[in-house]
Amino acid sequence: MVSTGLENAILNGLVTGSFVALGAIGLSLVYNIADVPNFAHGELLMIGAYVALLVNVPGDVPLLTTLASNSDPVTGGVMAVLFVLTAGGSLGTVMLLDGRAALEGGWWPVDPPTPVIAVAAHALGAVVLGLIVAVAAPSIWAGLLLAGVVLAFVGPLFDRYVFSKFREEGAALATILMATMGLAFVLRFSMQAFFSGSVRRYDVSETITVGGDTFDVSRAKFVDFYVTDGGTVVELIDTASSPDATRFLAGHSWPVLALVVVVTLAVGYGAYRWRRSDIGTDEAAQTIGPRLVGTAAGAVTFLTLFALLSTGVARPDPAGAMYATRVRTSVLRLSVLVLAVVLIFALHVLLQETKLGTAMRAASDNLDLAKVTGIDTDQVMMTTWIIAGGFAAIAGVIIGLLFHQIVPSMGFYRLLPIFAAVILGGLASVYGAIVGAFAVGIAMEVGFYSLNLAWRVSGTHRVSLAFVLLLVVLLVKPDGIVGRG
Amino acid sequence: MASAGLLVSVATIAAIWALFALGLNIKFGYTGLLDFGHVAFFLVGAYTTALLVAPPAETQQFQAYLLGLALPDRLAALTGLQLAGGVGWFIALAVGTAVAGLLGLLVALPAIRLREDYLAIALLGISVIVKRTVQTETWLANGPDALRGYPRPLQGVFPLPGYAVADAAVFGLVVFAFWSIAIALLSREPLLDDGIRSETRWSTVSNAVFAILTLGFGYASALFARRRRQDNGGTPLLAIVAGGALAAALGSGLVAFAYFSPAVLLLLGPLSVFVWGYAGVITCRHFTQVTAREWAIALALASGLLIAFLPGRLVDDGPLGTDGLVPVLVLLGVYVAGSAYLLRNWSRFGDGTNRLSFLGVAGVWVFVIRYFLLDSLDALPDIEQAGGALLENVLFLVSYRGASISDGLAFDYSRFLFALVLGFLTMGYLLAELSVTSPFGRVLKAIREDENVAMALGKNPFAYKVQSMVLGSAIAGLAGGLVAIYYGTLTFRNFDPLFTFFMFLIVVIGGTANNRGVILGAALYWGFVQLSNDAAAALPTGSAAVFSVRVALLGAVFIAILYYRPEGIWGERSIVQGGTEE
Amino acid sequence: MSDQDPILAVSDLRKSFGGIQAVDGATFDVATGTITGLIGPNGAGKTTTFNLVSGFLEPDGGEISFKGVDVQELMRPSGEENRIWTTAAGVTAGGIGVAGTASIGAGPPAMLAAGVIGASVGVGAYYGQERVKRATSHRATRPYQMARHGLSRTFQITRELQGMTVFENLLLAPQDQRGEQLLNAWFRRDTVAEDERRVRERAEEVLGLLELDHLRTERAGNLSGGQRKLLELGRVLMTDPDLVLLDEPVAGVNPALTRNLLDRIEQLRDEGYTFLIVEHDMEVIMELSDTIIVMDQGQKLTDGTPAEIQADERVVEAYLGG
Repeated sequence: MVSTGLENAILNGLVTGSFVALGAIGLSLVYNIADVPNFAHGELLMIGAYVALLVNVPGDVPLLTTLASNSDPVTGGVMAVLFVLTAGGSLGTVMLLDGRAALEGGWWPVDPPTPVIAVAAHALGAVVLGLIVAVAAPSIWAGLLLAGVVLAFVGPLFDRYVFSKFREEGAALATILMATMGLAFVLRFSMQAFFSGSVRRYDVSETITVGGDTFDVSRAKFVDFYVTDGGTVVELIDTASSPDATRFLAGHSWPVLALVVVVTLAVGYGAYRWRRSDIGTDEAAQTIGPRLVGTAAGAVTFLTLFALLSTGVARPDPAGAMYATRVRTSVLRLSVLVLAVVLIFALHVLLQETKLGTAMRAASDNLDLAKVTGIDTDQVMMTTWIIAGGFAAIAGVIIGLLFHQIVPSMGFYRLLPIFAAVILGGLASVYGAIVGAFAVGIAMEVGFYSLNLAWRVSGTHRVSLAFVLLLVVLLVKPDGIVGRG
Repeated sequence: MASAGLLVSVATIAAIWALFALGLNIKFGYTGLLDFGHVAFFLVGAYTTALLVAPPAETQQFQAYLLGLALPDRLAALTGLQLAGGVGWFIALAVGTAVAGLLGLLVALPAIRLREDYLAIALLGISVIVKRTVQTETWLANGPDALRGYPRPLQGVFPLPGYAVADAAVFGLVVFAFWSIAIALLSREPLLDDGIRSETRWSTVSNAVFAILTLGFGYASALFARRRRQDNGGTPLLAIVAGGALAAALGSGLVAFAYFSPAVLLLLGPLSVFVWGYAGVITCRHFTQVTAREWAIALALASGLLIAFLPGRLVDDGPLGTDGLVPVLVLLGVYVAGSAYLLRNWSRFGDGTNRLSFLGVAGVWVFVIRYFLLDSLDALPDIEQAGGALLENVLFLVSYRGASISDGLAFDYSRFLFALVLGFLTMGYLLAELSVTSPFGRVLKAIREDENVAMALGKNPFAYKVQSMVLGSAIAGLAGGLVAIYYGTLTFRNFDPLFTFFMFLIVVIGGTANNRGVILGAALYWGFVQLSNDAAAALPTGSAAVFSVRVALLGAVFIAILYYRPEGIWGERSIVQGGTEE
Repeated sequence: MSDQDPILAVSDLRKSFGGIQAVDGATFDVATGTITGLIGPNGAGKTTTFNLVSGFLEPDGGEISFKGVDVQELMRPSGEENRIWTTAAGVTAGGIGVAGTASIGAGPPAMLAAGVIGASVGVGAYYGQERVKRATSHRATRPYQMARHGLSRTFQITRELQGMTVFENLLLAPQDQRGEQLLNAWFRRDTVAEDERRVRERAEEVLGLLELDHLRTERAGNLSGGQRKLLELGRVLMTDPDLVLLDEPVAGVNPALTRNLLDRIEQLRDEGYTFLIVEHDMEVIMELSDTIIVMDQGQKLTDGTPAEIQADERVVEAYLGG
């Protein structure tokens, strides 16, 4: 039996960091561009988690229960509701950008030949999305999609009907802060009144088939790692079957490992040099700089070579090995990480490569100046909230999946690490918030792991750890790590 | 069933919350510190106090906690006096207050220099950490379960009458608290200037009534206090205390000679009536510009609310209990639409007073109907019972030994707590007023307005903000100690970050940087809570979601107030001349 | 210190913001009992100099001496700040001591002793680090200490305390009001009341002097631009300063009031106050000043009497070039 260690905690930290990052992205964008330190952001996560319930477990949603039946939760009625919600939400989101003009393609980077084509394209897109969600239900992935679409529509409404009013009045930051707090309680307790406070869960018992093997998505997988005299051994154990089954067992001798390391270093350094030669001065370049590119290239090389050069061995005895550790994870947890990275990359492309992204970055620096230079700040504001809402919803669904519970207070308690991430990142850019989020995630899990080694402490102290990190950083640098100075 | 007990209970918790909110008002209202973690100090005060008075944990079943010093019991055992237990409680409250203040200091030192939004989130985080620690650490204060089994101050003495010496002393204390506050309030009354032999009949009558209700000497000391205040700012405190002490001596003397019922009747009966009379006078004066016609419209509005719930009472509940629900909801819909129409077109219906005053009058009517009429109406075919309910509601400071007044009078623990809490609230209010009307308070306001100016004028914002945090936190800690008495058990659920939100709501509703407004805010908050509970109870189904719906509504109200009337109902009280009198 | 000594001596003062050298080796004196004008084109570093001298900014280098004392010396923590930190340090360290001894199962005497020792260590540690800061010439900014030592300033963009009345704005300014300490406000009300009477009398005088009587109870936020300037001047006078830094005192003030304001300043100079004034209105500054210092690109260009400055070609060049 191999026990889990620091490596496991770090992986957990990365997974935690993923949903914190998805929350922090929205919060930091809204903080920067709309000047709203949104205490209600956690509630967007919570609502997102509940919306996915509509798809995943419609029988557990008040009112919708009447449409669902026991044998088949997703009846025709439920599918119709889901279709309408998805299609309506996506069209509504487009409308938010600029009303009818947006529907006619006003927000497209290229002008459509005629408005009719744009309208048709939007309608088609909405119908396709709606069909996907309705047909794919009760898959949690469809839930993810619906939650993202609905919150992308709902998030901006808060700005339009609440915060923009305060901004127009020139309200003080303190007033806006209190208003967001008020909104947080309106949202949280409306949901509680509607759904009642009882704990709900997603129903995920999905399996995927890879090369003839079926994998259970949500059940734990163990990755054991041994260091022995002859080299290293990696074993992948699946706990879904009983008894636990070994899915993969392979070893590397020391010379092979040395080769892998040398090649990795070479590729990594090469990528580093390549990136350094044509680096820009924009803020993305500051974050996704040569070091990150080098590390990523190295990591890819390492994993590829590691898989290719493995040889079959017998499982060593943990007691005889020089070092043995176990990482406990699941396909679901890993896909959360992948999903977050994909979304972050998509956001990066949006910010850096599109006109809208440029406008958003300009508005983030100085909204008034952006307005003077002819940027459509209303559209920027709406986009900001659309992204914030969509990302928050996805984060909420992820939290519901990872922690197996959906309760009205779940958003409020994730708000603290999310805020901590944004403040750690120094508020200046969304990239800072992402870095901050992973820092917070790792601090929570590694801190909890080490505290738990020393004393038996309760897992509820994880959030406190994120906060202690924040307080310590603020003590040293009151403006955060990447503060504006 | 009369509502007097309910009123006393709600008024007690409202007074505790007022004290709790006074602490936030010093931090946020006067100094501009966004303390989103105010509830942490309330928690620390409550648990510290409770752990100091609780018996050792070993003596309790299924309980584990630190300390357990059993201060009241030890003091009582040491001196052989039951009353010494009360002193133990005072010590525990003082320590709880001090520890909360100290936590305020330790939190403020690192956090206070952060910009306001960071400060808010940092303090919110601290309150969450404190709450979670209490929630998870079993050894500290019985973990996620309730901390119970600690005694409440002097509970052994109640219900009066019982053990004679202690009875007399406790009753004297209660009478002293109630009477001093009443005399102090009366001494602020401009009507007194006209005297009993006044030219206008109204002031003659009202003065005479006040004089009778306060047994003559209360009136005299109020008069004396008022004169003292008017002559070159002499201190009125002596006269007030003397009046209160006289009443206390009279009361405890009577009790000592075993005239318990007469003592209660003489000293608390008229005082109850005095409270209503005084409240009536200041309400009428506050709404002088409201015309009789508007009073009548407000009455209609208030009774409409009652009528909307009528079907719920009349329709016999079926097995599902939903028979009355539909008509109630329909009527409520009509009522809400009608009120909205009325308020939106107020210029057409009213005689020119503002909407806020009108709503205030309607609120007064709602209270009057709910408190004085509803119980009697419920009992109606039985005239005697209806009259009894009304009498019990009017004489709210008096409790009965049996079912009615003819069984003799008693004095129960909840009214004692009310006097205790009211006394602490008065002290807290005076302390807060003294602080903020002084040059110290002036500096706090300057820091709130513009820290750089304060610095350019030689004030050290850091030192003042820290002091403000300590003072505000200590007051919250005292309120926490009182709430530990009030509940009799403590769980972490009573200290959710949600309560900080309620505090902000209370401070903003009444008027930021207005200590009286804070008390009004707390009263309105609990009035609303009680009203919503009543409404839920009147619905045929009852409602489990009443709490959620209420908080959601309050959130919406909060946003609306911040947008439409950020200065609150009474606004900031300006201290133009810097004195204690406006 | 004699009257001939400069009240303010600045030498080689430097300050940069993110690579821009705002003040770059400025050196000048302000003589006691004079009105000194500080002029220069936009971006010459005048306001930054003001902020450095009044302690609102930390200099990167150079010396400022006020009344013959290094301002770093003046900006030591105040008594109340020391009290707060020593309390906190003492309580924390004492608490750790008590908790530590309690956790190893010692009795009350040991706990008490540990508490006392811990508290003394905490307090000692605080004073120790203050020593270290002093020895390492640690730079700190405590503008309020400058104000306490007799240097008072106004702001370029007026900063009135909007929510407070004109009268309250003035009452706030005097130094060392005993009622500003919480314990005095609670327990020594007679003393406080006595102080308050004196402060009020003085405020009445200043209101009269600036002809703001009729605005006494007006909220400062409702004043016109010129009235705000007067109010700021009034606040400065209430602090009873030795040196007054005025940042554009007549900008936005109507001509009649300007005349009035200038007369007041000259009158106050004759009473012994010293003024250092930044002003863009050349006519005003030339008429008012005894000495003028010209700054350009963060350095002193020249100084002299108004007549000398007007004749200096470099000054004209700096203005045209800037």
